[in-house]
Amino acid sequence: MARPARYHGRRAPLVALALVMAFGLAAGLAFEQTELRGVTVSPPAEPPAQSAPAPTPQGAPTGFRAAFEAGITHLRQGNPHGAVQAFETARRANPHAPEVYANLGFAYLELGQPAAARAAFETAGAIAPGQVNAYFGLAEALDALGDGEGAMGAMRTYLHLAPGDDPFRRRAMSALWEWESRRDTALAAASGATEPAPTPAETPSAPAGPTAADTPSEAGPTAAETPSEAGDTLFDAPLQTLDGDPASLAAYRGKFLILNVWAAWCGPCRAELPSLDRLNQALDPELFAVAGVSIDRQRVFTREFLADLGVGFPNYWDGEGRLTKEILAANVLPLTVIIDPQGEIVLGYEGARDWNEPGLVAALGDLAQGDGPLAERIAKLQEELQ
Amino acid sequence: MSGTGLKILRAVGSHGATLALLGLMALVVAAGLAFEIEVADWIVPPVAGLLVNLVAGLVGQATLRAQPMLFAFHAMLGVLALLVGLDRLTALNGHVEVVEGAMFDPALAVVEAGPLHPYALDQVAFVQGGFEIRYLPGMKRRETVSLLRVPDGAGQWREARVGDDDPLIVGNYRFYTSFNKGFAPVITYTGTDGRSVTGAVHMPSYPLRDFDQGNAWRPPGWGPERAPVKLWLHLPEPVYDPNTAWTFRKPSNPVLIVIEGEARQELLPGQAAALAGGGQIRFDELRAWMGYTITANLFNAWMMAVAITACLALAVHLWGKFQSQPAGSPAGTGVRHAE
Amino acid sequence: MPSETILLDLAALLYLAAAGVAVIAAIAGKARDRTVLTLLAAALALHTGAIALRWLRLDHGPYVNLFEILSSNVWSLHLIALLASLGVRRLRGALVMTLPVLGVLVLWMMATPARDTAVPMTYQTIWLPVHMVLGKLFLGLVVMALGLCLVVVARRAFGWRLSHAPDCAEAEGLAHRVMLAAVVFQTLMLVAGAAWARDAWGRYWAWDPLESWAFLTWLAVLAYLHWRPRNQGATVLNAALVIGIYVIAFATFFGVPFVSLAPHKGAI
Repeated sequence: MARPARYHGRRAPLVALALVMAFGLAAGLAFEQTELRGVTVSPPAEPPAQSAPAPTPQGAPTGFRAAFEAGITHLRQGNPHGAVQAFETARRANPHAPEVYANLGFAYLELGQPAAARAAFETAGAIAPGQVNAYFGLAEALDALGDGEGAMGAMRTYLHLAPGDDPFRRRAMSALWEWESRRDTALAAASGATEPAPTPAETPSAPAGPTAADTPSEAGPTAAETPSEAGDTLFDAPLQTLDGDPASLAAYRGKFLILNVWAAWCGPCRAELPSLDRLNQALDPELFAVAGVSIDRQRVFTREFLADLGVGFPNYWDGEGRLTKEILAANVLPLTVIIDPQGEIVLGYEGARDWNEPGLVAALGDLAQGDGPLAERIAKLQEELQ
Repeated sequence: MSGTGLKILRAVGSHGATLALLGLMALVVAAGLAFEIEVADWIVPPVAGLLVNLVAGLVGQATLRAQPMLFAFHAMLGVLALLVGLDRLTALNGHVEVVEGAMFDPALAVVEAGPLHPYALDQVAFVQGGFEIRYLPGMKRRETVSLLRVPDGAGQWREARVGDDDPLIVGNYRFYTSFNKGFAPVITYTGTDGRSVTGAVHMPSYPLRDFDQGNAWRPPGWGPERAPVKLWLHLPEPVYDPNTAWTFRKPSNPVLIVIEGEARQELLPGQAAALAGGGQIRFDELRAWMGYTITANLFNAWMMAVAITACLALAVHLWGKFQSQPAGSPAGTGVRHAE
Repeated sequence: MPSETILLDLAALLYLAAAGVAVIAAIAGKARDRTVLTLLAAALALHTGAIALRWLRLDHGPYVNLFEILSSNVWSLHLIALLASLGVRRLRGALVMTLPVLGVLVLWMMATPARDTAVPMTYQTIWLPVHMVLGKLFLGLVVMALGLCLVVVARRAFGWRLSHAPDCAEAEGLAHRVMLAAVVFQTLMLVAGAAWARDAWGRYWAWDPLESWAFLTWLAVLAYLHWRPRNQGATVLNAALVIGIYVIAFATFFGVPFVSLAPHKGAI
């Protein structure tokens, strides 16, 4: 059996370790004191006696609103510590804002402090008995504290006050059902019955309550929530103008429509829009139309973006995704489809390109007015698009 | 130690166990590449296992103890692993945007901190001044210089310049300028009660999101049932030409568009408009905001010191080994060392 | 610029000539070490001139785009091969394998467009040259070990004689020593990289693809170093493991930083 060749004694490894650690300690102390880059400032023991020179206007973004919004942001990003601090700042700025206490309560719940959460929710409810979300939160806090009856009572109050289309009603009802089932099971067990309690269809696990800053999304329900009606065609799909009026592509029946699906956040889409604008000016308006459909989330900002860009061809907004997601299944942006006067898609193109190439414009003209079978004209256009 | 105990110790500290745990670690990292799992969390178990394996090896493997510098190297690796764990538990990462003329407000910082982090961001004080960012043709960003005013320790303020690799260091916190900066219209809102409050609304990063210079803002006192006011910053003349060199600057003729529902009002600096929801908004001026990355890693210096020291210990060990056993000894004969 | 290109072209020819002479000499069973090393030294001198001219013109070193990374690594790996061969005679016999492998890098470098670059702001730090030098030392040692291990595999798998290279056991043992030295530089390279990352991006480690691959390379070396002591007799397997480490290191140095995803375009 091989034996170690050099053996310095039992203490040798510990001595070596001690030497190495001493070296490491010295190096660590040296590195701690050394900053190769940057500007080092000692944290002030007290605030400076003189205010920092600051130009007008007065006021920094540290008022109630800023602190409250910051707290909401922290909550949404899963940082309850930051949320509590921000809401406390907001509370000091305005001790009578019920939404601050309500959201403070949710932050305490995230931190696993149901007692503090309960106090916050109760304060919110005391200031404003109509602060609906405070009852939802209070129900959660009481459940966490083991007060089942109190939790059920608070949740019933929430359901009584919350509007019918409140997005959290379902969760509240599910939670209430679970608690009632749990209570019934406990009662049954206490009285000797053996029938198991039914499990709820949806079991909320730490239901996230509504926050005061929740606003209805302008995008509306997604395609997954609103099943498409049978028979939706391209021309029937509901759109909106950028000013918010209902619209559809029905006005383009009888012409070849070059429809571009885009979004402002898509760089190639933005680069392509002026090219489509020039194409719109080059084509015969009796035979062709160019239109765009944006899938951006904020319609009014899309309107402003287009106004800044200065394109003249009509654009629409597909907030519901009926056209772009369900009918066109646009997975790649930009997507341009060429639709014949009867509403059939004859060609599609994924990606951005220059729509003003002479050969392409000629092929489009041919498509509408050329001789020969349509299939041949489409094939020729497809060649130009390659 | 009993025979069984020694056997267990040697098994736990064996090369086989080391190899298995290294393999597990590699699987976690590979899964991070392939499936984008959170490697920082999943790697904790194999690292913990390797730490146990290491300690068992240091105690139970005689061949390791017989090579003092190799022993010390491995021990320092264990210290490094512990320091990395401590660093993670006490680290803080975040970001904040500070508008020109404003004091840093920790409440506005979006941060993520380890459970043992000694939070002290409220002790950080600096005021954002102007900043300059230079671009080469082709939108290649060059130097960023941000002027700050910081406490000088004698109750006064002094100027400091930070940017790029030069952070502001206050206590354990480091503030690095990020690539995010943008415009911030300063507005004064006067409520129906006649009280005014002034603040800045940060528009999205510019020029990164030059197509999306809009934000929503809810005036003080407006409840959640009221839709916020939407603000859009219109820049009539381009601030930059991507094909030439340019320096980040505020445009000279901004227009703030105030949108409530479908109604829109255009405001030049100094102009005011009544809000349909109540109150009045005045567009005071356009400022800029600077984005900072905030980090706190309390044990960086020690981790570096331990890592370098460990490497030096290994180098000393190898030097001694190569000197005592010249190259050319056939493998498999002579003395077998634990390596 | 024309003189820069001419110097680089001549250097590439000489690198390939050195590899060619090493291979032909090995086939013929003759030793031509002096010729090979002289060609290498000449190639390095010309390549140094090409890099220096480009450096002066662009005002930064060769570390931004793929061409520059290839150029600087071709230079440093050949330099390490030359110095190692001058210092340890036994390593010269492995040049017959090392130089053709490096020759592939030379060809790749010549096929890569030599576009001008501007150095990103995050590169203006002392940690960049520290990290780079340590990385080159690591990769250079891995390439030397690779050459030795390819000798083992060539003999055992293909029956090549390679009479001027060390015998299989010695070659594999030497490769192990080289890898031991390599891991020191590799570990320091990771530390320097972390220090650079902290100043560049505010965090010292974030498991991004390059950091993850670099860590995998480090794990591969550690695993090999812990495997080999108990398996010293498995010469061919040990050699294969070193070859595997080279493949991972190659992917990390030359693959990961340059992989990009192009958007799909076209008519549907």
